[in-house]
Amino acid sequence: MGVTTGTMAPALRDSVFTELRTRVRGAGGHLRRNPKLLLGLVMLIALLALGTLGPLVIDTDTARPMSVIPDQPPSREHLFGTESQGRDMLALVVRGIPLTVEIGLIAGAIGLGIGTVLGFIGGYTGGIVDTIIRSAADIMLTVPGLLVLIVVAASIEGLVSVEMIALVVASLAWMFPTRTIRSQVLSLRERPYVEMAKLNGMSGPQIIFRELMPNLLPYLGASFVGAVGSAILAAIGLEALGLGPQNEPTLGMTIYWAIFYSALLRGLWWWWAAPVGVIVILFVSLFLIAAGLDELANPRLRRAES
Amino acid sequence: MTTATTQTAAATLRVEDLRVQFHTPRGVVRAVDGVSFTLRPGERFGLVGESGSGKSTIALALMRLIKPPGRIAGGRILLEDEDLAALPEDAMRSVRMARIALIPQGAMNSLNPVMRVKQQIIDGILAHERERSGSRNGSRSKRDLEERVAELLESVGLRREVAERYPHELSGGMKQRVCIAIAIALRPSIIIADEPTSALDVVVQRQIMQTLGAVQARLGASVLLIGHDMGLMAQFVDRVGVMYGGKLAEIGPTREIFAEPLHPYTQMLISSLPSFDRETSFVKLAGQPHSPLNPPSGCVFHPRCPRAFEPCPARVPVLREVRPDRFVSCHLYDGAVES
Amino acid sequence: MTTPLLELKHVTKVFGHGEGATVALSDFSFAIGEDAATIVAVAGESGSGKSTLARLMLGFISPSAGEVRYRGTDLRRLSRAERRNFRREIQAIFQDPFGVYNPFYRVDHLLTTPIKNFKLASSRAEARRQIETALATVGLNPGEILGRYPHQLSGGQRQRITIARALLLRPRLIIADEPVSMVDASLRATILESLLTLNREFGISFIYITHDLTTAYQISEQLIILYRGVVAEAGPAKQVIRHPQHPYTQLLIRSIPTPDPGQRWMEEVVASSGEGTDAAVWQGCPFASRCPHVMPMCQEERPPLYLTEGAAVSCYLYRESPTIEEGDLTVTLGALAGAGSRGNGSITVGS
Ligand SMILES: Nc1ncnc2c1ncn2[C@@H]1O[C@H](COP(=O)(O)OP(=O)(O)O)[C@@H](O)[C@H]1O
Ligand SMILES: Nc1ncnc2c1ncn2[C@@H]1O[C@H](COP(=O)(O)OP(=O)(O)O)[C@@H](O)[C@H]1O
Ligand code: SF4
Ligand SMILES: [Mg+2]
Ligand SMILES: [Mg+2]
Repeated sequence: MGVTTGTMAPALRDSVFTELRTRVRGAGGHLRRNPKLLLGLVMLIALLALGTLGPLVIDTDTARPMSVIPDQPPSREHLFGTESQGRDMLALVVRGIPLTVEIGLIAGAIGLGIGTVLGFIGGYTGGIVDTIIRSAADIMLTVPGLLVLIVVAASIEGLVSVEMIALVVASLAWMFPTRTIRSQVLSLRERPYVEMAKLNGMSGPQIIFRELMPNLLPYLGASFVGAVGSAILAAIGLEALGLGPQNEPTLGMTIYWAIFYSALLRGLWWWWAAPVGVIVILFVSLFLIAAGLDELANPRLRRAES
Repeated sequence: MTTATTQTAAATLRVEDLRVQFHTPRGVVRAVDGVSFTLRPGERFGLVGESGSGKSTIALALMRLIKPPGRIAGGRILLEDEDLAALPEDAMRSVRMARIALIPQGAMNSLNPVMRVKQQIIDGILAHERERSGSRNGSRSKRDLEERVAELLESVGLRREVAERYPHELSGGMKQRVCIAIAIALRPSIIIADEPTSALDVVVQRQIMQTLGAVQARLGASVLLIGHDMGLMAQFVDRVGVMYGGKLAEIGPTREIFAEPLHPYTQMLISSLPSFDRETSFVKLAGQPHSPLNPPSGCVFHPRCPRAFEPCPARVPVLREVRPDRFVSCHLYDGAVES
Repeated sequence: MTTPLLELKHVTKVFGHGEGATVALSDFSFAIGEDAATIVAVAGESGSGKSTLARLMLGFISPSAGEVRYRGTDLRRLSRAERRNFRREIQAIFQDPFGVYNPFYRVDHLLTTPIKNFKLASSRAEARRQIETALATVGLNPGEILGRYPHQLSGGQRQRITIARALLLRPRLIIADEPVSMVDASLRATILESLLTLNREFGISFIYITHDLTTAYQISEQLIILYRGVVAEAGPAKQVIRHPQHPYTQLLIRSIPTPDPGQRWMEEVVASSGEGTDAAVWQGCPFASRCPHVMPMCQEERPPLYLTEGAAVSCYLYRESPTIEEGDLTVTLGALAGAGSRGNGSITVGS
């Protein structure tokens, strides 16, 4: 280990940030030993690069209707083909990736944020508060989510924006994180080091933020990735039903239009192939990242593999 | 070579010059460094020593369960003239549990928490049978197996209903009994028990040791008991080997060793035993064990030895029989070898 | 008598409800003063309620009946300032020398946190000096310890750091719950020695919880034997161990394997503790089902504490002796100790 041991006046090292810095520096080694995480990150970065750097290379204006000849199969000129409204599929996908990921990030962050707060409060304080939080999450989990989303989304008047769809999805994205984080906190709360923290004069919030939270960071990371994934899935579901932002070419809306124009029946397979392929890659990468982070958080899984 | 190999021919298990090394990033740890002893049929043999002296590593080596970065670096493990150290892995699988069984250190805490006791015992039996007979899976009926589980539980002093329980529903003593039941499921002729009672209180400890003794008698097996408690050794084993720094310092009949310890380390261990008769009751072992990465030259014990003299830091002492059935590795006895 | 530092008055702790309820501690009274630093051992097999007692004394759990008082005030009614003092003055050392470390931090965290929270030092340099002194007191070299992660240290080192941590706070009482039972036998002596140093040089009293009578004999002045949440026997440690009077204490002592070949340790058969068949409530003596001397009266009512020569024993075999009645007749074990024992740990036990 890179710990130097002088005999004279060693600096006392004790802060969340020093530790985090050490961990980040050691992250390279972790990645090499964690192929899932590495592969997932590479795939995700490649997709995001396509979404962010793509516009510099290709003309994304061709994602507007009637800018190219409709219904062309993939060719040298239109790598992913074109669809019936006269839009270039590659341009659509390049425009769609950041939009879809944005919905996922917003909804996932809100869902996980609420889940973390509720999970920590419930898990650490226990008692009635915990009972209320737990029951609320459980009851909401039994409600068929897509149905609620459909009702909510359908009742939005006027044009739907990307942010609106993100908020709608977020409204049902907090229960699962709440439940899992609560149970993590419940088990951490019983650790002897929590009792030690009490003896050291730490208050409840201090224990939550300085003792419990740092140990849950990899877990929260994995939950975030999971939440983003579920949010994207939910959003695509809504969009495919036509309840998404009609003016924005998100991946889900592209699928909606493909359905709308009976792309498959008419043999326009590329209309489906492009968005579905990208979504699959996106999900596989998110899954790998979540599994990789889970391994980081769960040394037991690490050992079981060897 | 003058090691402990000149013993009775009817030996069940002879360990000759066993060496186990761990290749760690910071260097090679010679956890077991030339250990020889014989486990005679039906006998109770003890290995005693401080933590880190290599006891568990010996147990794992006998079972051929040393995992990387460790490896068996030399020596022979002769079970009825068959060298286990040289056996191919698939042949070794049919030896494990059926001929030599291990109750690993801390076993009672590594029972699967989400599996019923019954299933854990059955899994042990089936896993072994599958190894032996290819894939003949249904070789035994479910009824047979359950009956066998019940017998096993009763033989370790548990009621048969315990089969349906989960580990967390059992007390520490009951869990350790389940571990014994798993170990003897295939009627091994050698049982290795690695610190089976370290985590238990004295009353339960005695019950567990009595159970182990009873099971051993029924199977006619021999027992290799590993531990650090000299009192427990004195009460349970026939002969004891004292480990220090990966080597055996001394081997001999338990009574004789307690009556007259020969090796200075054994003398230190025995004189530091707490006693309720003594008024001043606080005796500490002098010195600390060395770092496993750089053992001292010559005799590994010399830096702590109150009786060390010239040859000690220079030459490595050899374990030799200085009196009938008394083996010591110490320069003090260099001239005392009886032929 | 001055107000005790910490006092348990008829404390009972029940876990669970109805059928599955466990009485972990039953009508336990006990007080520890602060005039003389003492070491009181509490011994018993696992499940006898030792950790429950420790957690009650530390205010981690509340009694189901009775009161735990710090300097005369019920723990549940301490003011903010009193609570702070309580936290500093009553400290603890736990069994698991790994679990008490937050794996996220270096071991420094365990030592700097109390200094910060109790404002024990006015500057970083002073904090460091205090930490180094405390580490040196328990025989550790700060240079080898600070900046390390817990898994890089040995169990003995980790446990001694937790002792240094407690020392930093200059407590009056340390509750040590099986501090050596997960530490290597060869390192036990070093740890026990550190505890003795704290006791003798810093005047800190100890409640030393253990299932091992050998170490209780080595360091404690008074000894309380618990059986299923009830005091079986209490008295000066050497007296109780050399001349055990309660049949349970006798069983415990006989169960310790010794190098004496005449002990016939493997031969005596002892009824098991009814493992798993937990009778939550018993009427008579809790030890009756295992006792070789059991009499009809033992099944009927729980025996009171009898004051025999040298100890307080809860067993009808000693019914000729005067009882220690609750309330008016608490017995000072320090007085029982008589001549020969150092100090007079002012501990009182009642039932
Ligand atoms: N997996 C391992 N990697 C590196 N060193 C090991 C490993 N297992 C054991 N050792 C080393 O081998 C030595 C003997 O350990 P062990 O057999 O567990 O001793 P004991 O059972 O007597 O306490 C110790 O110095 C220990 O550090
Ligand atoms: N949190 C708890 N919930 C339920 N039962 C408990 C709890 N803590 C302890 N007990 C029970 O109380 C009894 C005493 O336990 P404990 O005080 O831990 O004993 P010891 O420390 O002497 O081993 C045991 O029967 C145990 O199962
Ligand atoms: S060989 Fe020397 S150093 Fe080693 S134990 Fe014997 S006398 Fe002591
Ligand atoms: Mg071991
Ligand atoms: Mg306990």
